[in-house]
Amino acid sequence: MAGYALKRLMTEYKELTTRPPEGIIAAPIDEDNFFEWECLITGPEETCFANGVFPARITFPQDYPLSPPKMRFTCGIFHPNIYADGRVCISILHAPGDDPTGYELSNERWSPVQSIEKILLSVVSMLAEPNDESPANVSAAKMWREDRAQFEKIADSLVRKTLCLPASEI
Amino acid sequence: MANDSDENKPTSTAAMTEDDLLLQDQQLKQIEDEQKASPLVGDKLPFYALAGLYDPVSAITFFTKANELAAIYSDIRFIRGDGNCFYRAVLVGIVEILMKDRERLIKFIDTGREWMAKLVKLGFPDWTCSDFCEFFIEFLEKIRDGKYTEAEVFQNLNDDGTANYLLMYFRLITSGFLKDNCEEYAPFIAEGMTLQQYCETEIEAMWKEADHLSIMALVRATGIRLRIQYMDRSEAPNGGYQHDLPDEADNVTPDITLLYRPGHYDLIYRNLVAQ
Repeated sequence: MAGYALKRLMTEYKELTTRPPEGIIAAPIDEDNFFEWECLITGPEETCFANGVFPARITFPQDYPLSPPKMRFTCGIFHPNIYADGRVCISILHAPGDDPTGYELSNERWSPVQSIEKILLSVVSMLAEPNDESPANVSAAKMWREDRAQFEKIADSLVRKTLCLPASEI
Repeated sequence: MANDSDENKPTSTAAMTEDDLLLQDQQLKQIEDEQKASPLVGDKLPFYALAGLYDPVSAITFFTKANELAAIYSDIRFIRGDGNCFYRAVLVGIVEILMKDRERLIKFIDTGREWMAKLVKLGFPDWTCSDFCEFFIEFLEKIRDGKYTEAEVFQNLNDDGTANYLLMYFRLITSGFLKDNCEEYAPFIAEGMTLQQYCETEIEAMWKEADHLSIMALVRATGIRLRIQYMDRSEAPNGGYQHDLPDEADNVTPDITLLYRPGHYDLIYRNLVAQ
């Protein structure tokens, strides 16, 4: 079964290298294992994540693209739609009917015609516009709603950390 | 066997903790393992195998009906109940026809190419969508060129990866047919959902069961004549209730006949001697 998944992953890799979406790099960690990818996502401009470069891992199931992959940030990002351990919780990573938070919109679900690029673009939108209706990280959602300044401060310190800059003096 | 997976999947209404998610994963895995105990597509069995599933005392209605149907139908192929059973039964039924009818096979390959172009025009993501169409067309071409024996064809239909890739073609043309005939079908979509959303979440995603609208769409997209023989609790005489698609036309022999039991479809074959 993995043969089909491998063929598809190789095609997607080729697509992503020849036509890379802006601000995103994604590739298999090891050429011998196409089922584990690493990616770098640039924080969207004019948001508190701007300029940050956030590393994440994508793990593909053996029956990809029939089933969706899983994605996990490895940089300790504090965000309403990302679990404390880094797992990304957005609708495109879930098949219809599988809705861990119970609030996801019915659009943008995983289906085999979706792609890694679509996922990554959705993740960028998620960074720009958190969905606090379906929080994976409740305290992040609460802070995003009630204390935006503090939320932005935390985001800023992470942005600096990802760029290896000293912490802000503010 | 009579229940498809989606009915068993827990539907969450509130936010789940990580423990809940873990438990849900384990439960889904267990359901999946149970499903995988039966083949995707069973061998052709004598129709009496169906009656054998029911206890003559506690399930007398089903037992009687299965025996009544055995007068009309000679064989049955059980299809795995994984949410794909309708599409899979049609896939197998069509492939069986195409293996015996070269003219139709060649036409079906041409239609496959037309669909591939049409799907892209309808706004389906280009290369992910074409990937499934090309895979299906190549499979039919191998049959056309005599590269597969019948046994090898069925091996492919029972291999998870190959079979589900082939099946995706049917999901895509079902969805494509509805999108192409949006004005006609949009009124049948439940409120709060657009036809586009319905297609994406109910048809294009794997392991989602087909409902009446998707059944109609696939029948019309493939141009097959389909009979659905209902095996429910109604005590209709003479084998019970049946439904012909695309039109109720008397005396037209269907290409494919499916047996419907609540939540599930299997492929059945008419007794040619009795006709």
